[in-house]
Amino acid sequence: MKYPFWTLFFILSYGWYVFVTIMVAIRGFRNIKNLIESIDKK
Amino acid sequence: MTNFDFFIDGPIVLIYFCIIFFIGIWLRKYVSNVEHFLVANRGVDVYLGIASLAATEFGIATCMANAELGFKYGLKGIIPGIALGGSMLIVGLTGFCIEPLRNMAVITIPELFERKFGKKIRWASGLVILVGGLLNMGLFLRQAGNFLSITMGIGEGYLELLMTVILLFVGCYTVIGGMVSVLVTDYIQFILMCLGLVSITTVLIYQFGWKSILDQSTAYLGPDSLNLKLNVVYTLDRLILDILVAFASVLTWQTMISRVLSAKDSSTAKKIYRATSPYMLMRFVIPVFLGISALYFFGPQSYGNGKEILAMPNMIAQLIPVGLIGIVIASMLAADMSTNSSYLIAWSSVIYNDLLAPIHKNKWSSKKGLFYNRMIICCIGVFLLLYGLWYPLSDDLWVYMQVTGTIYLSSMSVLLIACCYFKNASAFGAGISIIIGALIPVSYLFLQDLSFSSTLVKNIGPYRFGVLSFLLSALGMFIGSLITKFKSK
Repeated sequence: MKYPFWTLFFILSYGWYVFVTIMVAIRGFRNIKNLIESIDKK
Repeated sequence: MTNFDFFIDGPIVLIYFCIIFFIGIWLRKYVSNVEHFLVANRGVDVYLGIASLAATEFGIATCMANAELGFKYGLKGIIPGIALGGSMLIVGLTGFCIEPLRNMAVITIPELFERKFGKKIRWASGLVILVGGLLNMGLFLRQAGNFLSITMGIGEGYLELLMTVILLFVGCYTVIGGMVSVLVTDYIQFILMCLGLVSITTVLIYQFGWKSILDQSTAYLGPDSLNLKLNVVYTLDRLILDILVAFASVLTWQTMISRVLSAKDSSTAKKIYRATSPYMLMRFVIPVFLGISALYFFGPQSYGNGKEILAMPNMIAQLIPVGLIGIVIASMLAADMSTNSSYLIAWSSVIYNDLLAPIHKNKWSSKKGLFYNRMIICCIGVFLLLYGLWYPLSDDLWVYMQVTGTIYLSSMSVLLIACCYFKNASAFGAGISIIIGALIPVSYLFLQDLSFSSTLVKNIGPYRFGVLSFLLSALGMFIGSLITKFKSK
């Protein structure tokens, strides 16, 4: 492999990006629900 | 030339617009007072905070500016991202400044300054934040207009119309739904953004080949373009300014700090920062990759002499196939709208909370407060439209954003650190710091365009001006505070 550092760097960066986006997509939705509920209660 | 098809890609963009618009408007019922409007009742949890912060700090302007860095400097263009991601991680781990800031339960940083330095400093801080912030944001709309007109194949004559449509659309749901709308639409935009950016990268690697892109980048820009060492193009003063701007942004940039202030507590704020820090790196990694891919596609000659910024959108227009280009444009619009809406809220919060504080004295009714906040957002929108059309960009867009950001980043970071950790900090020192911090970058912006000074100013360069602004601002605070201390004895 000609560019091992940059290859690894990009794989890790993009992998992390996709992983956290999926996490945020799932759990962020619950956060929105809680936020709206907390505003509703007040 | 573009692959955008109005009958296939057009509806994709339109459906996206409609979804965002209706959600943004529907959320208006959750906004009944200024606190809801500006900081969403301080109810933001970690994952929503990450989505909002990451989506806010990645707009079309950032993407084009950082792609320009990739086109001109190769993978070296990632350096500011390393500085920014590293700074955010350090601050998120230590809670440096953001912990006391969140614990004070203020809406803006100047509000905190009032407790330490008095009302005048609060007002002056609000003013420099606004000037720096608005000038910084001033070219966002133009870049978004450029991007859309190129990728959608709309003639340059419609640039103003595109800018106005984007602004009206974003302004509409921001004015009506405030921070609650901004947060929820940020969440959707964050997910769509990821889909679009990963799709573009996949298409580019599939079409060009990973190795070929890097090989060609080395051939055009030299072997130095693939390492992070400093050279004649990426100099030490530039690196120092990148680090200073990165730390100061993480500590005081209103759109970042508003997520800290909207967080449930200081521990959540720190978690948001820690988890978002790699995004600050990705904010550069993805566009820089798009930039070097555009370099591979067009070669260095096609977009020279200040036109480098247009290479990336032209590549997307010509390379991304029908169907996918609609999703890509919707995702870039998503990125841009989340940025614009958050920035509108951020600067309006400073105007209402700090600059107008002597007038309303926190005594206005919720209805009146909301009305004025909405009017302020409309005024900011008009300013952005006019400024975006009028200002001629003569440097890299990223350099312009750094210089205008420095107008307030230099002094506000000094004041914040002093406010939290420097016992003897005085209002006199804070005043000197604000004046010096604003004067140096503003002088640069004016003098670079005047015939008698442009050569000298360009020889000194924006980076030294920026670094000087930070150093002298800190020195001003220190000396001013010492003078106050001796006088009081």
